Amino acid sequence: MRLRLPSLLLLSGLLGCSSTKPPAPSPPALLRAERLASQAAKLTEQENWPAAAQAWQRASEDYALLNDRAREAVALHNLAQAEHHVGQTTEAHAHVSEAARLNQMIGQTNEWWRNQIVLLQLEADSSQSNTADRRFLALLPLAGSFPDANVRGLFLNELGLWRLRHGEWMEAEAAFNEAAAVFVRIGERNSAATATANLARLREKQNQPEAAVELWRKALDEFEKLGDPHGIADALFGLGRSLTAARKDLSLAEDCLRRATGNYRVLSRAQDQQQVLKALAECLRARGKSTDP
Amino acid sequence: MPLQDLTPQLRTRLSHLERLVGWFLALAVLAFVAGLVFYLYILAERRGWFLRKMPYFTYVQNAAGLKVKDKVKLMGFDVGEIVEITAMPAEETVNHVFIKFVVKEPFDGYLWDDSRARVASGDLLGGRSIEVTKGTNGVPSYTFAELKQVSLHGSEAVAPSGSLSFAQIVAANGNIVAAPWLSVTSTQLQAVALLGSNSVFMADRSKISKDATGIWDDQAGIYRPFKKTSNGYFVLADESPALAQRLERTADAVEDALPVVLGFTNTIYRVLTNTESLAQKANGLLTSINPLVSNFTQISANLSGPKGSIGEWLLPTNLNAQLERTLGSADTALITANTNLAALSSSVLVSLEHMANLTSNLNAQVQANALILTEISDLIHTTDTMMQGLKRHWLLKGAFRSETNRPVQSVVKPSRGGTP
Repeated sequence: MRLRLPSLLLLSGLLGCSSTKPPAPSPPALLRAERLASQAAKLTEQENWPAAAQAWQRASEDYALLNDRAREAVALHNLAQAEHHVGQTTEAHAHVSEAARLNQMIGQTNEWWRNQIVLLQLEADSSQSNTADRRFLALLPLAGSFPDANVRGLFLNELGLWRLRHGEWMEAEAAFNEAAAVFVRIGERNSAATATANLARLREKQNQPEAAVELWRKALDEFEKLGDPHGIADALFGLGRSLTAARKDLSLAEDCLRRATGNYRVLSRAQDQQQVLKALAECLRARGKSTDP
Repeated sequence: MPLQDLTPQLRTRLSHLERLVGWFLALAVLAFVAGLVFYLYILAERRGWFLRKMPYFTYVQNAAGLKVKDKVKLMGFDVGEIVEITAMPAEETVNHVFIKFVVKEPFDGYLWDDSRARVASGDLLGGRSIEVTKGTNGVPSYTFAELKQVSLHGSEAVAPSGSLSFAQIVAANGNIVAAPWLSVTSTQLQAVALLGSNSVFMADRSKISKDATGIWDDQAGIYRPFKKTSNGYFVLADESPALAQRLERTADAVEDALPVVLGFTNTIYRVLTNTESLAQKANGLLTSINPLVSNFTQISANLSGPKGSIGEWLLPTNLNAQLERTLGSADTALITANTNLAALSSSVLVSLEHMANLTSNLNAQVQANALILTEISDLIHTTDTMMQGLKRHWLLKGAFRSETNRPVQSVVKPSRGGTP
């Protein structure tokens, strides 16, 4: 009896209070484009590059039909990234250039810079050094005021690699250090670890294997914490290579290089696997072992 | 501080305030009660609690997949529910399970004496449901008009009227003279009177009551007075087994058909073997024909040559023998091919018949379960609607934090110069 009235009140409250109305449905074409883009983003995260390329292609076409140029540019940019991973460098360059043109047209400066960074990466990878040089020379005067700290860090990292390729080690070191500082400040730990790895590579170029070993250890530790398989494989390779060059702890160097070989095989990075096998042979020679498998 | 200690003015003001608070509380309680009653009224109206529900019953062989409160469907509408499922006494040999169900108004008017209760598979988990069919050619199961027995002779004889209809079937020599679906005319009244009847049951449609007055008796062909305590009107069941049983039957059919399929493959194997043999014989035939061709070449050479006379070269002894052998081989090969082709065609025919039976059985199963996909689709749709409603309910929406889709972003990762 004592509980009956509160129960009635609770029941009437539960049943009687009004709920929110259902949201207005989005247009079907927009829903379809968003669903495609969302699916493509998931495929990109899973590194399923052929499927991601197809999905981004369809998403970009849908956004073009909707005249949504900003999202079309993003889709084209990501399409180019997927194509880059499947080896279609020419198509990737064309798509990211189109994305840059769209972003410039609608005044998306930040996105335009991201397009330019991807273009720099593509040109560096495709050994179009002259094109990359021209692009850097054109971009450097504009690099004074970046709209976004992340973009600044990315540009500085690419700039450091460019300096490294040209043997300008002091400038490269400054760029990598600054990039790492920017990434740490904005909490981009993966990018910061990448900058550290690039700095380690610079030390190897400068023939300072002991310093490189320390930096590779730091990068490996960070990649392990972040769970980045590609970063771990690269850091293991770098650490093994640097230890071999320094003729220190060669057993650890051999172990690192063997693990890097296995990791590259699993990650289907055949070219890197060839490189690490050469480094392993060098390490085994340094240990006085046979290089036969 | 006691109220008596206050000044009269303050006491008067406080008593006013108390009265106001009392009125406010009374009004609030009244409004709350009125709202609750209104809500319950709307709920009852929406759920059909005020509607008339007419009882029906049927018998099935198996109660599997049926339970009390299951919906009863008619033309796709939920028109009622099962209220009782009971096993019949052990001595009952024909009807095993008694099922009573009610049908809400106005759908009770759709059930006539030719309606059927189809008990069909409802879901993939072995559930079944009852779907009653609309009457098309017969008599409504219940009447709501006033029933009365009217005289056909004398001063109380009934006169034809638009509001009257027969409440029984009167037949003579196989011909129906009076029936509920026929209008009452003087000719029909005379015909009924000529049969020797002094009175006839009629329904007065000008006096319609809310509750049923009569229930149709199929055996006697007459509306009997309806008692609320009765089980209601009997609807003949059209029962089909549960989906699991059907699937089991299908699996049995497939299992039975397997030997046929295997026999089919064996037949194909034999046909291929015979074909191979035929090819070998054809090869031998070609080898045998080869000298014949050479001989014909020689003949043509002789014909073109100066010694082209018939006799010496036309039919040399070796050519005759070779020709005989060749023809014999060709005859054998043709006989073998003919035999093999006959065996092949008969085997293929038998196999095709078995395959046709198999596909026919499968088609029948699919046809029988045609409603399953619709039911599954409805289930998913209804569940989705319920979930969407729960997500919007003021009490529960906190448990369904909407995960807003992140806007699509361009992906840029820094390059790594780790590998040489």
